[in-house]
Amino acid sequence: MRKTIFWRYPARLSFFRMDDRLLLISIGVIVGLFSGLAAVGLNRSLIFMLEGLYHLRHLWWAFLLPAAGAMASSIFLEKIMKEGAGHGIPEVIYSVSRYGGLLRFRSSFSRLISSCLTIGSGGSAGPEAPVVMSGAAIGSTIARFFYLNDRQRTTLVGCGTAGAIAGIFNAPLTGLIFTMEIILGEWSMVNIIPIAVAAVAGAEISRILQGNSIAFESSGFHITGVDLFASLGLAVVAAFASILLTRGLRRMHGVSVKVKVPMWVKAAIGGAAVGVLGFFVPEVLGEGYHSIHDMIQGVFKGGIGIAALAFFAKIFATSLTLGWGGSGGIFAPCLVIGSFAGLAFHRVLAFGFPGTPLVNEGCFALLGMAGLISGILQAPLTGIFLILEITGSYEVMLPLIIVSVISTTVTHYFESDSFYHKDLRERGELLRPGTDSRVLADIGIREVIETDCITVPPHMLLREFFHLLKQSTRNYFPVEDPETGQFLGIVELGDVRSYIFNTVMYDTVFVEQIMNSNPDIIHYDDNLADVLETMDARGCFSMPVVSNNRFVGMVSKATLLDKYRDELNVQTSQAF
Amino acid sequence: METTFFHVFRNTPPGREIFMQSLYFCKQTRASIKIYIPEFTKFLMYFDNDVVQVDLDESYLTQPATARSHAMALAVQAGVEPFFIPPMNFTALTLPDISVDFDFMCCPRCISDFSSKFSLGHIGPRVRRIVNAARFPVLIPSSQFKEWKSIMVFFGGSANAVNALNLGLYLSRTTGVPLDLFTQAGELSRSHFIDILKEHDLDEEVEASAREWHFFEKGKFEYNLFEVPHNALAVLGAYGHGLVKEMLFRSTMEMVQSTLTNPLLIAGPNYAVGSR
Amino acid sequence: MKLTIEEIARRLDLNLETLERWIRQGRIPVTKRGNEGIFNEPELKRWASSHRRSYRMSPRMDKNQIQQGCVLSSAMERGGVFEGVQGGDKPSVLKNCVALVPDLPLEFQAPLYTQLLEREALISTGVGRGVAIPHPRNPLDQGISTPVVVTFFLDQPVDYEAIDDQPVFVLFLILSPTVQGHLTLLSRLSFCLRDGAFVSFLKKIPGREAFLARVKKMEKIIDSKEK
Repeated sequence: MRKTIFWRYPARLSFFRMDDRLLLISIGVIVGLFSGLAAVGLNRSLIFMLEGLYHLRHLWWAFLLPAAGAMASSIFLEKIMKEGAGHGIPEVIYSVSRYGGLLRFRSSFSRLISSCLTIGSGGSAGPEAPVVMSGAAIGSTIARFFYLNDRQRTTLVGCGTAGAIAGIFNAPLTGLIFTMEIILGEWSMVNIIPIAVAAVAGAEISRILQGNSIAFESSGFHITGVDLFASLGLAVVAAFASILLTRGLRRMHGVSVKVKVPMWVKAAIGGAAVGVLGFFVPEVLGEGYHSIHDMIQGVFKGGIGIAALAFFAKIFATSLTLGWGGSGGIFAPCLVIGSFAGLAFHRVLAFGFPGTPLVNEGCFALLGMAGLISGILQAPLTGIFLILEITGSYEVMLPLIIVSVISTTVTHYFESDSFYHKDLRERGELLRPGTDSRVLADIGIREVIETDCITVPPHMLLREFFHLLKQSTRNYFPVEDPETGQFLGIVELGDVRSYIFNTVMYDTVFVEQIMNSNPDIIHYDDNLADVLETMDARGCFSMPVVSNNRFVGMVSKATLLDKYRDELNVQTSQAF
Repeated sequence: METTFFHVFRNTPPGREIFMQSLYFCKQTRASIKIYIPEFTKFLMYFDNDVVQVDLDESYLTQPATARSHAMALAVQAGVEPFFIPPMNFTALTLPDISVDFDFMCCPRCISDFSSKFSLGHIGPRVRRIVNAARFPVLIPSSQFKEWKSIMVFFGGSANAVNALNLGLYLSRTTGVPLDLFTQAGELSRSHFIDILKEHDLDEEVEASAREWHFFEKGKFEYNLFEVPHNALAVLGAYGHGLVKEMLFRSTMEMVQSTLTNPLLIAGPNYAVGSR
Repeated sequence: MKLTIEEIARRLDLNLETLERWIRQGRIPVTKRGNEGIFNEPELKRWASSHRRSYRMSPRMDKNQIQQGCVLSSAMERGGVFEGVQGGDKPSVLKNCVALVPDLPLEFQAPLYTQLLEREALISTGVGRGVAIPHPRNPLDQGISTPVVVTFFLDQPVDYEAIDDQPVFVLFLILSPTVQGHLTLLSRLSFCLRDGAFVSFLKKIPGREAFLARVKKMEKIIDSKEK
């Protein structure tokens, strides 16, 4: 007999069966550590590549560097890893919502390498999304190793993403909030603790290996009423920047799809274009964190024009890199674009209204970042906490909240879904927990089928049929061919109600005359949501399920209500 | 409830041989066949505890215009009604998900890029993962279509072998085809195996339905395999004796697969008769 | 505790597929091993009550269970047959009948009598040809646990304000805790009463055995028709 290796099935221990929080917390720590490590690893490699290639930047052929990097990344991802690249985070959200967070093992490291190639060589993208994907895949793999169920695995995937974000930004709170707000889409008490613990683990390992430093330290800002007022304007600017970036990316992607060359050539083209752009506006290359640093310190050289140019250039460059097949995320570019936007806006204000006591332009850069992140992700909390944690400037809380929230709202007006949800929504795959589509997606036809119908042969007389009524409990009678068992039609009681007392018809009418020979039918693998739509459209409350030309059972709205309530109940319950 | 069989169609002559074997299986077990004509070289199958990415050989995308009509014609000829399943959900634009809600699936020996189209070769790692994760048995066809007239269950006494035996009995019942058993006993006695059958309440059924029990106390396994009729369907369980032992020494599955030319039906650890 | 998945599904009144899916998704505190589910009974009961499900050990009553044959005769046998019941008018007859009902605790006699009168006030239960089928206006929720039909042959025919104005000589008192039971008995009884021969048989005031045998015979016909 096959021996069950007990320590690999911890979820089966009775101690953990009812309350698995302790189990999840312990495994969550491990997941957080590993994703934090992945984040640190990527960070280090990027720094290494940056320093390595720096001295080549001034050569005339340097524009080929991003091209080569993007090309290598594309080849690696497609041919070697066969990943079937998408952006990454939508895939995580998709899997969490549908399959309890099942992710492929290869995703744990493939994106790390590919984004290292793209960004390290100068491509305009961020390392955050790949790290999040890796963290999620690590969580998923560990969960699979321990044979955990869907719910537990989802929590561990969340732990992975939290650890990743915490590790790469040294921002544990942001990791937690990002996971809850964007990846999981729900704030459930059961999940918070393991995810928080994982975020802490991720941040801790990052601090141990890289030192506890705030990414963009500043010398403190003093906020006055004027600034609050100005931040309203900045919020709107940031919102428009987000919209511009989103649409730019999509447009670029659409353009690249039309060009019929192999994927890696496309990536190379995109990379080359970025390289050329980088000659003129060197700030667009790579992550761009150096520029943010300068801007926050308030030492950015160049006037309004340069800032505005850099703003548009960075948007363009990011669209080129990501739209043409490079691998990376959108966080870092958003931060850079946001800073440029804030900076430019500040300079415009200072130019237009000289003498107003505006705060240092570094502060506006900071607020711009928050506005962009909140706008693109439509997640104001993530934006607020990210900026707080990477700048350590708690004194800007008020304008920060204003900018984040207003940016989100304004962007939402033009783009109904966040950047990550857009693809999913378009394919109809977006299932947020506790929503109607989620509940319906889980319930299968097999679970709602009722099989207590009495079937009748087509040549039965009406008299016998009415006699049958005495024993039946339903209003629908399927008609089957007595020899082959084939489904021929269905008799609905409502149709014959008026004939019950017409005794003349009893011996003169056959069942096949009163049946509906072409009813709307359901197949076994139909989507319950589609079935309900059909029922609503045709106004019927029950439909037959026919498979292989044989009648199997009925699906009725009445029983569906019970099932729906049960499912909703179970899906939204906090714990067991 | 209908029995369903999943087949990934390859629009080439070797693919035709494999498809015909699937059709024959369906005809015998009165299952309906669900055919997937791939539009992309990859697809994902999400199981209970694993997600397997299947990378198909480019030949699977041959001539999509004629694929459907070819498949339809072959199915009609075999007398099985075909259903074509288009992928409903996509993990990424080029990565469709395939539902795993089937009773059987056909996996050629190696469906990844590196295999040749004819060889017996070893069972690719992807197929192993599917077998391990799936709740359904996997049919590994031979390279040429031949109607199987008997079923040979490889009974080694492990839990998975009992699974395989249950599967064999179920098939024999539904198809009416005779059932034989094959045991390479080595040092264990016949009564040991009978005890295992008794433990699972199968001894009477085996007595009644099994035609012949090929019981080998000596001789090398590969040589004894000659006793398996050329037109039998081999049924076995995967991972009989522990993963480590199988990785170090070749498993039963491997040996059978590389020696016999018969089609194989493998029941994985998550398979239970009557379950989906 | 270890049970098969099917048994757990039955106890929770859940579809088998739904249960398997919830186990896989981790929404119910049961782990699956092969074909069995392992769980802790008290915590499963707690889970059930917090999710508006009932956890029941014994098989459930199927409300729609079609009644088995010979319902009427068994009800009549339980109720008994009484002859020579006294009474000059409807109320006194009914009062005497109520007193004769077997196994009826004393405190329920008065309420039953009131209910019978209420029912008569709506419309007389004398259905013609000397037969009456009195019954309480609402099903009795106390006092009677199984349906009974008590047969009373009157000493003297009594004016019952029947449909055909004929005096009534026999009463069939139908008592049932559920409306379903009541309607079944009523339906079968009326089927019997449609037969003129049966009514004439009744007029002869047959003995208990002959009467019950006759009813059984008629019920067999009903049962065979329903098959």
